[in-house]
Amino acid sequence: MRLTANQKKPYVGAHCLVLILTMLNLPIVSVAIASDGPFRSVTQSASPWGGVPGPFDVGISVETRVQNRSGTDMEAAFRETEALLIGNRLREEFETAAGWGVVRLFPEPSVIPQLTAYLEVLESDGRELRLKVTVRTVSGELLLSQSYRDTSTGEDYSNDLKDPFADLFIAVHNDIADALSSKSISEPYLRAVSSLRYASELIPEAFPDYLCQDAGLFAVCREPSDADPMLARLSRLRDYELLFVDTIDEQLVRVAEKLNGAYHLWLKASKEQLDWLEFRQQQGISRETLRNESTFTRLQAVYAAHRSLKIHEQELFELVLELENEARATAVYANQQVFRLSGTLEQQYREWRTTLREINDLESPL
Amino acid sequence: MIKRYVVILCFICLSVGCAQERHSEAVTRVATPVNMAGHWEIDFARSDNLQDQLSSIARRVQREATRRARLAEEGRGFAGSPLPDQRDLITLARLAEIITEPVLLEVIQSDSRIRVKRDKSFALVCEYDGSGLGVTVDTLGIQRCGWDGDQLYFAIELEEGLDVTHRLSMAKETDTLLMVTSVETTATRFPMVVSQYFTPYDPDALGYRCERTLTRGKVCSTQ
Repeated sequence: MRLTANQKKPYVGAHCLVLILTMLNLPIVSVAIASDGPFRSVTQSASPWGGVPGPFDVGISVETRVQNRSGTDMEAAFRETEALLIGNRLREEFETAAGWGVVRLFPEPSVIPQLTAYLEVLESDGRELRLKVTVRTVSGELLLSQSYRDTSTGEDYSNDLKDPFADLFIAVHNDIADALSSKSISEPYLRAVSSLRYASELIPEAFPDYLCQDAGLFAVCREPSDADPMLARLSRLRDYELLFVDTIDEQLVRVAEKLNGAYHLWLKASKEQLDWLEFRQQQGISRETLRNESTFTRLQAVYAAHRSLKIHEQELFELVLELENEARATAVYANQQVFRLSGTLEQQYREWRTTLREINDLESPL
Repeated sequence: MIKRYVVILCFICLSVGCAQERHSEAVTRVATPVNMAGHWEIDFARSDNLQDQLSSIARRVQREATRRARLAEEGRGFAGSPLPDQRDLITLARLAEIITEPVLLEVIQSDSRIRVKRDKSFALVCEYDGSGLGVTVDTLGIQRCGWDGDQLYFAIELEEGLDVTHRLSMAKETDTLLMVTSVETTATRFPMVVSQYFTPYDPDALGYRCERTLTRGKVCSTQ
């Protein structure tokens, strides 16, 4: 059987709703996005958008591009963990929206989910969060490529539990939902593409002519029979891979729970220092003014600010190192065996995929 | 305490001049790290008294002022940096008092990193790979650190010309850790140097241990 992109379920209902609400002049997306060079600045408080295009599985992968200013291994470890927290934060937005399929964080971009959101963290200092978001379907179609910037205010930190950059994540989620809604993409079709792409990555010889590729876009040329034993084995291997991802996910949720308080305090302290520095620069402090009666006050304030920032930073960094050491090893029970994996998440993921190939080789009748 | 500083410094000749370059200290010896790990508490009897240090620096400034005055009388000009005034030295002493406030240290050391955790303050953290001083930059300043021979060296340059250095060394004959802290500002060319001696202590001796963190507050646990 040959599936084509035309055999997709149009989301007429959602489109009609958008049209009606637009005619009634009712706001659907309450996040105001301002054009700011290559970035879109999220400038207003936002509320989640109710519409979800369908039960698409979403995979989120994150990398940090934030400059390691201190140059220390501790900060590097922290930035890696922070990237996961940010990915987890976007995942929460998808889960809040309800109606999506399974939303997972993947150590590396994967062909298993129908949609992959690839996040690059460009800046995160408590005052500003900048992200580059690229979203593609598993067939290779680009849905969204956009950089976002959200600037926090003092009010954002008034509540200890509030995410100061919630607007940004809502905006990203809504843009992804919008982009997907504007296309006529069938979820079952993407599932078929995903299955064949996974097969071609893990066992290239399995279904060589079933997947067509043209200009970076993948399409299903032939679909294997449901009774094909190779397909059943691949399905099982894919479940094993997801088992690993879910195991890592559980670890990540625990990490996020433990880090959340310290991370929020650090964000707040960092913003306060940056605001304070900016204020001083605006006041035009010069060396001459240092020789007045308030010299001690000024110098003491400098030392106190440095001490405060360091204390917050060090507690967070130490916590990250502690958790990182705990999460260095993962045990996965699959195929009636316990597999122990170690190293970074990426290393463990690659090791697990190698193991899956070995399982396939052992079971393959060829 | 401030009144006492004022009494000591009231006869110091004042001199005001242009801004100066920041203090820099060269680290020239090959790194030979020593083990400083453990819990340390201050030995007040052997450590410097800030009052004495202030008196000492005041006498140095006074001697320098006298020397300059003599040179001026002899018709020989002096192009050195200006001397700190009374207010500068009091400022320095008060800052030194804050900076040297911690009386307990916990040193955690590995092959590539050392953390000197201090009560009531931030930890001095240094990562090293043997290639020289490690430099870390943050929003408020620059820290340089590394091993200078068998001494652990930290130099922190902060905004508005505040320079703080710490040197930690172990005494060979006795189980003592010495931390020498130097505090200097652009207004003074006379750093306030404070030596603090620390001796080992057992934090478990009490049968319980308390730790204060930002997120959990003070948490005590029995051994």
